[in-house]
Amino acid sequence: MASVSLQHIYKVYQGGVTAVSDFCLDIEDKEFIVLVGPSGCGKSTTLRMVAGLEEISEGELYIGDKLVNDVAPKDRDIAMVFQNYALYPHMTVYDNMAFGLKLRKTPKDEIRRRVEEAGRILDISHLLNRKPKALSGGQRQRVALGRAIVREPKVFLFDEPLSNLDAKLRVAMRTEITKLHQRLQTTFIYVTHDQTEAMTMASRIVVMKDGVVQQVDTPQNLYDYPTNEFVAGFIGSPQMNFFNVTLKRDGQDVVAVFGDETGENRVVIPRYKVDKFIDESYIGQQVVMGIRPEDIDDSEEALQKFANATLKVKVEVTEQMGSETYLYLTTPGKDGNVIARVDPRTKSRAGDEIRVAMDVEHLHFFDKDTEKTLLNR
Amino acid sequence: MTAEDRLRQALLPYGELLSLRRAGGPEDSGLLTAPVHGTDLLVCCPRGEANADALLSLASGMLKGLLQADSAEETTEARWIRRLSGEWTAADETAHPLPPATRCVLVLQMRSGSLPDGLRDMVPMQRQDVLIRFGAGKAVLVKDLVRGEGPAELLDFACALRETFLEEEGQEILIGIGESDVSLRDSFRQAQDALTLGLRYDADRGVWRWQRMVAERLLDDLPPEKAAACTALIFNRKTARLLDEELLNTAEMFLRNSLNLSDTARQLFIHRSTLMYRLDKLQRATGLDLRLFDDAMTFWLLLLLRRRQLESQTRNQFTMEDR
Repeated sequence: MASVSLQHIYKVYQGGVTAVSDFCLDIEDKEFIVLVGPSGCGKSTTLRMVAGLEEISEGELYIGDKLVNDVAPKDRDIAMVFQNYALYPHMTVYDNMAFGLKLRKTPKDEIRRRVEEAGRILDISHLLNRKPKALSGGQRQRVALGRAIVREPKVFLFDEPLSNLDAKLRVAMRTEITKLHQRLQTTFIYVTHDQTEAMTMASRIVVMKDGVVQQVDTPQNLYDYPTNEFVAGFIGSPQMNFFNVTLKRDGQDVVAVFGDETGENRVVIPRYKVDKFIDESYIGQQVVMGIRPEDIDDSEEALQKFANATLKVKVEVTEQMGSETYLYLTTPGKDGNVIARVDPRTKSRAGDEIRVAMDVEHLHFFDKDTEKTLLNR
Repeated sequence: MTAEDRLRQALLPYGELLSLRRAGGPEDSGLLTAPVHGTDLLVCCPRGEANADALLSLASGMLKGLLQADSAEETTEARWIRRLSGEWTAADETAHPLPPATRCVLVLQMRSGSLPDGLRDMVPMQRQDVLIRFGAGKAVLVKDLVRGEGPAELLDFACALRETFLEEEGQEILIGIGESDVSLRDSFRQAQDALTLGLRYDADRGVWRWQRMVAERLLDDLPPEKAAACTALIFNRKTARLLDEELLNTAEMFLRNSLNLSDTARQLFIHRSTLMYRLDKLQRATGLDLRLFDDAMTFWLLLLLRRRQLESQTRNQFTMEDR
């Protein structure tokens, strides 16, 4: 068990390409940290630097109190679980799990103890004498986890370990890994491009883009208080809807007027929300307004409750998901669709022209140029 | 493959002894120096394919003589090297027969640096597997396949081996896999070809199986001029500005995701419409609509040729720096 500290870490490749820039993060002992971001954002490179598979161009990496920049990977007391969960086909599950320990000249009794213990933790004790060919995809993945567990490392590193599994198995393994973390009480650093994985597993999430950390926070805080437009769009599915609006004063009120300038679509922003603006000088300017699909509603109740925040829209498509329905809407002044997640018993149908209400409590505002949030928490 | 490539490959078994360097003179003079036991051996690498074959056997013969001069008795390792490099005679086979088995050859090489000292411990061997080092940077694993073991198991083995190296050494090992239904000599050549072609056409991967590299092998037989002419069809001065890194990365991701728009958009975290826009932009620049299989395949082949061109340029640059 150990904390991990990344201090101003950079990765610059030959030719000057910067993959990771000024990465700073203190990971506490026993934390489950997930690095998430789109393909090419630098998350795997960061993990590989922690593992020692990539040289650190600049900055300091500590595992526990020890500076490990120049420590060989095998001496860092870490274990890595890879995407391919490759196993030696000619070896039994037991031998596959024991192989790394044999290389390290661990005594036989100790190897047996560790493999059997890992087998119990992962519920694969009955598979120890089988060959990988006789295992399902999920069982193989567990064996791959077992290979890491037997090393009893201070830190576990996971590099998109579920991306080769089918959707159903992925969901099951997500829960397994979370349980494993609770049981082992060890530091986990996990890389994925799947924001659902990140949201469901992490104690804290690090959102990255173009090699730069965008935000580090708990899943709920990331969802509720994104620091910029990228994080707001990346976390949440379907993603947040964005509108170009102009903030204007209308008597005592501040209103967000939508791009079409007809004035038909306008939202009165409640005072307590206006008070959260970092800088009121944004009033009078064009900004980006964001609202999540579940905060747009077509019910009578919502239309009454948020009568000052309604939008005239046309229903393009409805997607019934059983427990909820997605409405794909168009509205003047907005390119592309607005997505609303509404009650499955909605009466709205494709082709209908309706009004939808926005829950003003959950409006987000971003600077049009810097894309940073305009709201204090 | 150029004559120079073939010469380099044929001399690989003697890697530690032979580090080929271009001799002075114009780049196309084909002169290479090979330091053997402290003496520079000058070898010539003509462009003509026919001459290259003659040269290969001449160079191999000379090397064999030089290597064997050191010891009166041939080591097992040297014997395996001869067996794999095609200097194995019927008399040799009678003197040192191999028990009947299905075997195939894997060539191992580190992405950078040399193979670790504890290589033999790190490669799990079974039955009559043989592991031979040649030079500091490479090793050959002759794998003995039992019934039921086939290409899928070999691939699993290679991937597992890669992970072992990453975990234990923090180093990336690259693996070329030959076929099992050919002679050991051919399997060895295939494994070496797989490694060379893999690094040339798809360097990000670390395991390459010769049999799956049909396109790469076909493309590699194209003379450089023709390859350049084909590549220039879409990668030219006119399109250079349009085909920026972002667009090429998008196209590659789209191909990797088997032309699946949703998966590609999700992985790149771009809206489906943005992806469509980029594919339209690429179509305007190249005339190829990647959503269509034929066009996607054409683009992929030209992309492979472009990688070959870039790899060749890098190699030449290093050679120039070596001089």
